[in-house]
Amino acid sequence: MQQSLEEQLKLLIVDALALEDVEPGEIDTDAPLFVEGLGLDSIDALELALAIQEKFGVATSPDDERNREFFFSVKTLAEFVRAQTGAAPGAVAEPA
Amino acid sequence: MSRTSGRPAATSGQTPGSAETMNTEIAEAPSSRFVRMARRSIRRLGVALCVGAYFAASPIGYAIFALWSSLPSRDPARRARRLRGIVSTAFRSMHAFLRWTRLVDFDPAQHAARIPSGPCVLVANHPTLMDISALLAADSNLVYPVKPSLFHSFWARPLFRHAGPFAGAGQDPLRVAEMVEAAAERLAAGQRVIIFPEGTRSPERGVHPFGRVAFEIARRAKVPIVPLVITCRPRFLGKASGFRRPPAELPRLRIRVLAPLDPMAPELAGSSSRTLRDIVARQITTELERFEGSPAPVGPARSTRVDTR
Repeated sequence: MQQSLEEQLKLLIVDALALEDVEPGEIDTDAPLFVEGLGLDSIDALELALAIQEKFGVATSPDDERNREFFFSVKTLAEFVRAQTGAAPGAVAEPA
Repeated sequence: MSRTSGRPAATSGQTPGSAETMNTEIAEAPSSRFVRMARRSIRRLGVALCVGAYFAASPIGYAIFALWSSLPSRDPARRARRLRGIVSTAFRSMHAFLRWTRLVDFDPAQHAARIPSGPCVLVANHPTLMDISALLAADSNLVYPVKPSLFHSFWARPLFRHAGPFAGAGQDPLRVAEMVEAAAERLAAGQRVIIFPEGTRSPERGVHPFGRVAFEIARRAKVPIVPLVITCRPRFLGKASGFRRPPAELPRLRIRVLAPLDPMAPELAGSSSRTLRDIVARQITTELERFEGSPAPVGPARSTRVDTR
């Protein structure tokens, strides 16, 4: 069974950031990723952005004022990836 | 480390803690309170005069600095060194004046020799507003991140742009890449970078959780991390002690330089910024505990993750 984009992103977060005490299924799709919620920091953001670029071919710009919105939660991140890849909502983005 | 309690010392011939001493101290309490109030009032007046003098003189200093900073230069590195020298001299003068007027006791010359030469990332707790002026007074080759909105503001840009400081990451989680790169450039040029990993002033006791940016910079630039422990007793210009509430006793600002941590050392090779951060945070809190005489509280952890990289 194919994973949804949200599930892929949760798995990517755990793997890329080596969150050994967090299971992908435990990450709330709507919860904040940074400071609150999962408690990631700016270095995690860098590493996550790199991992997303490697997996989905989606690059972020450090000058983009919307980065805080894109990286707010798994849900917003998925919306961002879909928008960049042109995938329909709910569809699974093809790995790069 | 001795602490000033503001209470009169035991008179000659009396044993501290004895009944005679206690009776003497109780008998002196009203006058002692009056002395403390008088001291605080005098200190408040002194602070007001200093702040007034600062605001009167700062437009002149700003104009000179901004003009020098804006003039074309064939050697930007040399201009940056001169501008940092001006800043350092200005803060040395300021702290000499504060020491002379008995408002704050800090001697930059005493601390300058303890800061290592060569590029490194200095990491410190942040108890007061005077921390950065004290460090810049002690080290003219020190640069630091500035809040992005301030760094890019029209009026403040001349103060920072050509002197070495660089824009911090602000609220954009991805802008930290630019900050790390800017810091690495300064380190490669032989400068030292100071970062307060709490991101704000420390609480009255202990520290807030440390961020990882300083440690990631050191790791990528392959330079030592130098932990500093800054103390100010009694606390002045901390989160709970502003300009209008100077303590009655003379605040003594001190900077302790702890042993550097080399990310390239065999025992630390391959360590993540999280590991380096945890080591240094422990060193600083242990030193603070030793100074304060009790466990130094650390604010709530940002996450419960365990770093195993």
